[in-house]
This record gives sequence, structure tokens and C-alpha cells, in this order.
Amino acid sequence: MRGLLLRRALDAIPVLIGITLFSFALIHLAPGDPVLILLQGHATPANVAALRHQLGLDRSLPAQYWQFLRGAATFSFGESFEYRTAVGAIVAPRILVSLLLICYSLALAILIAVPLAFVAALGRNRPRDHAIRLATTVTFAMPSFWVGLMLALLLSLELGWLAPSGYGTTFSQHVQGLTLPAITLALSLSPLLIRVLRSSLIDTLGAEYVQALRARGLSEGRVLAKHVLRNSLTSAVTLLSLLFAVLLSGAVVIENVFAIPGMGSLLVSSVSARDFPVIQALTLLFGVAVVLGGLLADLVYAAIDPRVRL
Amino acid sequence: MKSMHPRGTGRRAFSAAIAGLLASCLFAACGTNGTPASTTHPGGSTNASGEDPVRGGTLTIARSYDPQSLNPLTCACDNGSLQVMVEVFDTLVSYATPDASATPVPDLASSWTVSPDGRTYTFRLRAAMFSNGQPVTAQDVRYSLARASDPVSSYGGLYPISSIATPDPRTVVLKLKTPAPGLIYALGFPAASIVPEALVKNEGDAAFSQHPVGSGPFVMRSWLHGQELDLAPNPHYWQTGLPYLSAVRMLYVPNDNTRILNIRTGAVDIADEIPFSQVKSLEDEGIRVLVQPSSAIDTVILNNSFAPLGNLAVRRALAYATPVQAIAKSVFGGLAPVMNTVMPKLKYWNPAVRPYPYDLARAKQLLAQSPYPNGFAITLSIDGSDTPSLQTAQIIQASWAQIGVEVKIQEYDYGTVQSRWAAGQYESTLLVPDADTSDLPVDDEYAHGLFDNYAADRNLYSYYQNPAAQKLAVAGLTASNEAARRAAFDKLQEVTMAAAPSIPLVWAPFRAAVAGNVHGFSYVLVGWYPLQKVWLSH
Repeated sequence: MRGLLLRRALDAIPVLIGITLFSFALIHLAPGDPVLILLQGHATPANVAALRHQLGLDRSLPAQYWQFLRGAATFSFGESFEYRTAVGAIVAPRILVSLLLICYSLALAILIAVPLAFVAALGRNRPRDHAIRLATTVTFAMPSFWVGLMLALLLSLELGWLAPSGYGTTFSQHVQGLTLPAITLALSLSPLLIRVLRSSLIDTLGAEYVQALRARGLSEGRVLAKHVLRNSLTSAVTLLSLLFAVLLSGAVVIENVFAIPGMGSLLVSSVSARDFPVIQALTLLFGVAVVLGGLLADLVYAAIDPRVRL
Repeated sequence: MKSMHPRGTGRRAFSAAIAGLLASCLFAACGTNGTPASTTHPGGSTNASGEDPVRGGTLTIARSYDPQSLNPLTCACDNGSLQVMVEVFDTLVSYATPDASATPVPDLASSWTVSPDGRTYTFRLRAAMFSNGQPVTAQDVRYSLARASDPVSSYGGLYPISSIATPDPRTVVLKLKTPAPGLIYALGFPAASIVPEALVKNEGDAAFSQHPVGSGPFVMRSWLHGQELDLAPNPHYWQTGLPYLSAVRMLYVPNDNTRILNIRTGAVDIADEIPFSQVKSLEDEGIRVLVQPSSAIDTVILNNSFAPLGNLAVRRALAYATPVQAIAKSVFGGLAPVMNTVMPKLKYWNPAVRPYPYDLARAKQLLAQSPYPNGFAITLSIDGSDTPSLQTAQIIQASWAQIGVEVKIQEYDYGTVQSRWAAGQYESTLLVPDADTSDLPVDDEYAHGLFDNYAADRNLYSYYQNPAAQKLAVAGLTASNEAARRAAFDKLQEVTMAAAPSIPLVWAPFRAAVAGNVHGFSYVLVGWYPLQKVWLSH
């Protein structure tokens, strides 16, 4: 197991370097010049040259990339063009915010998906199964920003249960503020999850050992919870680890809608301002998050299926 | 010409598709509560009632901008930062509100005199303290204004100061390079905020921008980047009894619909930057939307170095072929006045200049006299996520096609639009309607920027040169008496409208949704809202 983790960690290094190179190339190839955006209306040649020098943009691209790599190795990403302060100070407080949002969404997605998948699988081809499959199809087709807005209209404007946006300063305010975005993300995630889990539950339910367990007189609840679910989860975990990247990119949109000060909303604003140091730091962080998500999935496999520990 | 912080992505999807959907299905289902009062107050503030102010309370504002840096000395002067700077810092003068002409009134300076030749300004400072308890001295003023007028600062051009003397701790004497009657107005702009010299020198510009200290009505209590900035009253504020509020929370809510939802649920007291398309529906719901004149211009910016646009007849033809009234009505909900000049509507606005009527026959006739009788092809770069820009561009495309001018709309993100504009890589372009704004309530900045700054930035990247206009601009900028100044600016507006270096559209007003218990809230013409006299009734 340790060997597996080590191997995966080593595999991640070229991936991460690739990500930095790709994001560096992308921001420099994309149109839009941070100096001209910052100086809007005051971009005389003298001002432009001075600011370009001040921001270090007058050096060669390889030199700029090398500086970024060296900085990244020591978690120092330079100064934000836009906020004129250390990138670390801007990005760091946002990591926890996004992490909370993603964990909250995952938890909700599992809470929604597992019971519904069971209901559908146990009632296979009955009306309730069809209803759930229809509902997942409809939910899957709805864009998440639209769902978010509809939820906000319902839960905050009509029912007055939740604040329409914001993150607050205390933990209970955080949880409150993250509820709407987390439900939104969970809803976008659960259709696929329900479908995958449903079909793998159906497979497992038909397996001979399940019949054997039943024949031995185990209670249905015990059979389902301890044996069927556990044996069906592997495919769902695989899917979740793949969907993790989707969840991160969903968070980019949703954080902006609900004014959540996470990494996603920062990415949106820093891309608009061509704030290169912040964009580079964030893309690297997102890359690390996806890699860690994959590692986490490996650990979860091992926990639910001892055969993986080989 | 303050820079506007670009807003989030996805606005087109929201504003266009969702707004319509929401309006038709959900808003209707929610039901309006039977008070469809139209409560727009063009030009007024929100305290028409004349009640006595009540002390205390927390004002919560959902803002579309996030402050970037709060150090006036290194002012990027984005809208998000300006709003905070005017609450935390004082300037020598400020602008009277509510007052459409934004007259300079005493602030840190209790009085001032101007020498007859217009080149010496003497300010008498009042006894005031910074929020850290240190007195504001003439030395602090000298340091702050020397930094502001430094030619390398982005706003140095607004302050043509050659020397600053401090004969005593309460007197400051400014000597100017040339007479500059606009200076007194420029001294009210936050780039000329008075900062404590010792503190800034001690901790440096970067640190000071994170926790600014000034002598304004409020102090910054906390700043969570990208989330919230909180203000508390400055206990040392020189104006005793002010501010009325005991706290201000400025929430950064970039999404238009979420900001609106915040005001509809009562989660905030004020939501700014209400999209034009939603003002009416909010009013129908009984929510007050304050619509006030701004210093912004929305024009089709023309690159006069693009061959066809270098021709006067062509530019005039395009002006005649632009249905501005229709744009004002359908894109801006009739809230934005049609421009009759190519400049912002400020103190020296000339009402006698005639706008171009929509006249396709005249446009065709002009084009026939030009080297392009059969028209030409032109690109129009816009921010594709900005609904007003997109709608305006589509109307223009359809209309110019009728005189043979084939418009190709290039949709970019706003950063690219700005970059291409400033680099001169465009044929014609639209900035978003609230972006192109004068920092001064007088015409000096745009007269200089559009017609007298070719060497520095090709007259604001328009590549338009007009010796007659330049002469008039300089005359207005340096006039020694008010009548001559007004005459020069009057003539300048006339001459430049006839020359159509850009195609004027509308002056986009400010739009803020304001809860009924908020009093004394008003924008100043140049883009922010002072909060020291705002109060909440319970």
C-alpha cells in the first residue's frame, strides 16, 4: 500500500510540471495584457514600460517560467498584479473555503445518491425506479448556475430559511452560507452517481453470495448495508474520483454566483484581470487537488475492499 | 478614467437568459405585494422626508466591485477601492451632495484662496486628527500632494503642481506650472487623499494599502479580500456628530442576480450596479431604485487611424446611421440620457449642441461623398458577456448595414477588449457602459485626454488629432476666468460633436436599489457614495 502511494506521488510530479507549463503557456498565449488592463486610460508608453518592468513582465518567458517554478517549490508565488500583495496571503484563506464547499457537496451528494440508488435498485423496473431515473435525467440536464438561482429563490426569498449569498465569519455562518451552493453542486453530481450505484447494486443483488447470505437468515438490512452496499461502492468511488475535477470546476461557477470567497471565485476574477501570479498559483493548486483526490480514492478503495491492499 | 474592475464570467448567461425566465415565471408566481410604486429620484438623494437623523445601526451594502488596493498614493483607483478610500480618507475639498454639479466644498481645508493669476492656491487647514490620534499637519498635506502630483503616478497629470510650501502647520501653499482652474476639483479626487506621512514612510506603501489610516469619517475595521470590508466610525473625525452609522459592511457580490436577490430578501440595505433591464421589475415589486447621473460615457470608440474612419464624411455618416434613441430605449430602459456631445455630461456641458438625428438618407448621402460610396467592412470589439454591449452592437450592426457598412462583431472577454483598445488593435470598440468615466466633475480631464494628449497616448487610443479642438481644450484648461473657460468648453463640445471622432450613445446613470429605511444616500457625479450622513430609521 505504501509502495502504491509512493508510486502515485511520484507519478504526480510530471503531471504537475505539465500543468504549470500548460497554464503558463496558456495565459501568455491568451489575448489580453495585464499591464494595459491595470493602466486602463493611462497607458502611455512610459507608464506601460515602467509597470511592465515593475511586474517583471519585461523578462524573457523562460526566465519568467523558471522564476515561477523556483517560487512554487518554496510555496512563494510572488505578488499579485491586481492586489499588490503576496499571492500566498490572497490564496491561502480561500483554500479552506473551497475545501469545505467540496466536502459539504460530496457529503450531500452521497446522502442523496445512496438511498435513491437503493430505492431504484430494489424496485427495479417498478414505477419508483422509473421516477428516479426520470428525475436524474432532468436534473442532469439543468445547468448548475440556474439550479443555484432557483434554489436561492425558493429557500431564501420564498421560505426565508437561508441567506441568499455570502460566507460569514463564524463556522455556523460558513455552514449556512455554503448550504445553497453545496446543494446545487450535490444536485449536479448525484444523477451520475445514482445511475452508476444503481446498476452496480443490481449486479451485486443478483450475485450468488447475496442469495447465500439471505439463505443463512441474515436480516435484509444487514445484507444490504454490510454486504451489498460495500461491494457496490467501488465503481461509485471511481466515478467520484473522476468527478472530483468536475466538482472543482463546478465550484468555480457556483462560488461566483453565491459570492463565496473560495479558490473558484478568485480564479474567475484573476483571469479577468490577467493576474498571472494568482492564476498560476491557483491552477497548480487545482492540479494538486485533483491528484490528491485520485490518491484519496485509492485509499478509500483499500478501506472498502481489502483485495486492493495487495 | 478610473479603471473598472472586470466582473465575473457567466453574466451573459445570467443576465440574458435567466433574467427573462425569472421575470416571466418565478417573479410572477411570487407575487408582488401590491405596492408597485415607482420611486426613482433622478438627481435626488434618498432623504426627501426631512426627518431628524437617527444614530446607530449597521448599513450593509452588496457591491459589484472588490477593492484592490487602498493606498491613495499608489492609486489604481478602481471603483471598488475608491469607494472605501472616500470613507477612510479626507481630501482638502470634497464635492457637495446631493448636487448635480458637484461643487467643491471645504473638507480638510476650512478655506482657500486663489491668486489673481490662478497659479497660487493657499489652503487653511482645520484642526483634524487621523484615526490613530495623530494631528493632520501641513507637512502631511505636502507629502500626500507631492506624491499625488508625481508625474510617474497614473493620476499625476491631474495635479500640475510645481511646488508645495508649508509656512505654518496649518497652511499649505501650492504653486502651479500653469493656471489650472480644474485643480480645485482634482483635489477632491481620492488620489489626492491626505495620508499620515510618518506612518506611510514607516511601514511602506504595500503594507499601508492593506490597513489604511486616514482622517475620514470611518476607519477600516477588517478586510477579507474578495468577501467583505467593514468600516466603523472614526472616533477622531473632525465633523462632530458624524457619521450617524455605527458600522458599515460592504459585501462583495459579483453576480448581478445574487445582488438583486440580496436586496429582495432584505439581507442587505443597498445593492449597487442594478442591470438596466431589471430596474423596472424591481420598482414594480415596490423596491426603490435610485437612478442618478454619472460622469460615464458610452460611445462607439473609433480608431481614426483605420483608413475609412480617418474620413470626416464617413464618421458623420456613421453618426447619422446610429439609432441612438432606440438604443437608449431598448438597451438602457429609457434610463440613460442620449449624448449630445462626445464628452461626459459635467459642469460645462453645452445643452445647445444638437445630437445627430437618426437619418439614413443623410448618412447615405454623406457616404456617397466619401471615398467609400458603397460602404466598407469594419470590426466592432465588445465584451460578449456584457448584455448592454451585445445588444448595442447588434442594433448598430443592423443599422449600419443599411448604408453598406458591414459590421463584424468580435466578442471577447473584457480584459481583451481593454487590452486591444489601449494597444490600438481595434477598428471600433465598445467599453462596458459604466467603465469610461471622468474622475472630475469638470470637463478638464476629458478635454485633455481626448484632444490634448496625442503624444502620450494618441488621445486615449483614438488616433484622432484635431488642432482646433486641441487649442480649445488648452484654452479651457488654462482659462483665467470662468466666462472664458465656459466659452472654450462650449465651443469644444460643438466642434468635436460635428467632427464625430467617436459615435456618442448615452450617459449611463448610476443604479442602486436602496431599502426604504436608508436615508441620505446619494452618489456623487464621479462615482462613489459618501456615507457619513447616511442614517437608518428603525
